Amino acid sequence: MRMRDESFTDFFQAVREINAKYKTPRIKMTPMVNASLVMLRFYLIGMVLLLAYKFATLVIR
Amino acid sequence: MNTVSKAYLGGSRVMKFLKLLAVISGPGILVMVADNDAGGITTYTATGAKFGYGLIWFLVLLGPIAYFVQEMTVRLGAVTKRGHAEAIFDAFGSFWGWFSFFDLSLTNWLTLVSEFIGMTAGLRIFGIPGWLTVTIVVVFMGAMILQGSYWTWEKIALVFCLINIIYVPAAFLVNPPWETVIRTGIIPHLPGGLTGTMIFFLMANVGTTIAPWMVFFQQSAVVDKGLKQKDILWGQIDTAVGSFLTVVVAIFCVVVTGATLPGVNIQSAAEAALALMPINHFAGAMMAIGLFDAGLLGAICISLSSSWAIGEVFGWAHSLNNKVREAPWFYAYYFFLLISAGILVLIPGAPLVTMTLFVQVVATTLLPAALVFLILLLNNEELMGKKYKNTTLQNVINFAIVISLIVLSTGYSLTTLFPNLFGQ
Repeated sequence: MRMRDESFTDFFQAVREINAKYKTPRIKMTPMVNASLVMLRFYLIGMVLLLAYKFATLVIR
Repeated sequence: MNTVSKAYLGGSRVMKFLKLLAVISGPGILVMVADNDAGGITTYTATGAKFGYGLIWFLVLLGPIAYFVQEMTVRLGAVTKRGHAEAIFDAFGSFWGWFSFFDLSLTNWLTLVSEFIGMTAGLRIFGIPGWLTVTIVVVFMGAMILQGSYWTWEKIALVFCLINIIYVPAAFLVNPPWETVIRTGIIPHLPGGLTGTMIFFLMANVGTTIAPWMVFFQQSAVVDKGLKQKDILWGQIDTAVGSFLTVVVAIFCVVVTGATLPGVNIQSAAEAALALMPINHFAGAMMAIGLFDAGLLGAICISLSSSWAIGEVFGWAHSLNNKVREAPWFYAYYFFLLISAGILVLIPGAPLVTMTLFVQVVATTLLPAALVFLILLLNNEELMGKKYKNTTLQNVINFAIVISLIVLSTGYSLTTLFPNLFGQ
């Protein structure tokens, strides 16, 4: 049990280190990059909403 | 001997050419031929049965599309020496990095399940039970990566690419009217007009052309193979040959079902192979072997694409040249994916059909991000340098391709969610 706890701690520590390492995007935020990332966010939100709608309609049936 | 340049030393002209051929053929051919995986073969056989030879011209167009997208991964990998997962983390930060990583992991695992479905269905035609197929595949694919050399792994995988060409002799066996094939296949037209079914099939064929795993796989393979900037041209040739082969296989697949099963609604490639058996036993058997091979190639590349990605993200050793003790997590993750997907296929009553439909929808959430990141990275002069960044012409072509791919893949995904979206 103790070993398992340690490995989980190691895993979360690794995730924290990755988050810290890549905290700041290295790419220069030009208008094109910004616009692309905003559009991607909207696209993903749209896809998730559609999936949620589909799931809801399946559950209601 | 890792690079093309090293191979070009000594020997006669013929030997030099053969050495070069052996060295350059690799990630590009592999990724392109593996693109014709179990799902791809099902799409092509269904297309041939539904529309005959009428959509061959459309398949020809998909070759350059696949080439232009995958060629970018060659340049990016050779210049940055980083896989796509690591490149996304580094350039766009941890939010987009984690999103891409988790979405890729889920999409790849679901696709791996669909490859196992294809492999077990293909060999079941010969009376081989599913559990035996899964066991053989897991043991074989395990042995393939545990031998400890990228080079050997790649060459074994290329042998399976050769087997994928089995659809060519299969097409000759069914003796199609070649004149009709050429006449109706080459001239662009839409048999029956732009109906809902036609739109669905066009989107399905585009959907199988570029999958997110392909972008991640080829870039990581380029890095693991050790391609340098001076080898980019050879990587491009490799990719061009691969895109040619993928189109050839797709066309001959369509010819087989177009000639033998016209008007039949095909739900899976295994169903097509079974239906073909009474018409031409050898051609049916070849279809079944081809389906197994397609699933195996897909599984080989997809599982590795996930393992490379996790190694890149967590900074673990992740090369096929590493021994197990040097890269334990890389190999452990590979086997975890393989075994879990294989076992799931064997569970009676598992919702496999739902999962295979779901995989397309999940893939569509990742594909736009992967492609947009690819183009943005290829336009970053700081990263790519003036010499290797996209030219204006490349940008025009690639933007057009990426936008079309996103629109059509999203359309296909929406049709999966809402089947009557475009009518029938």
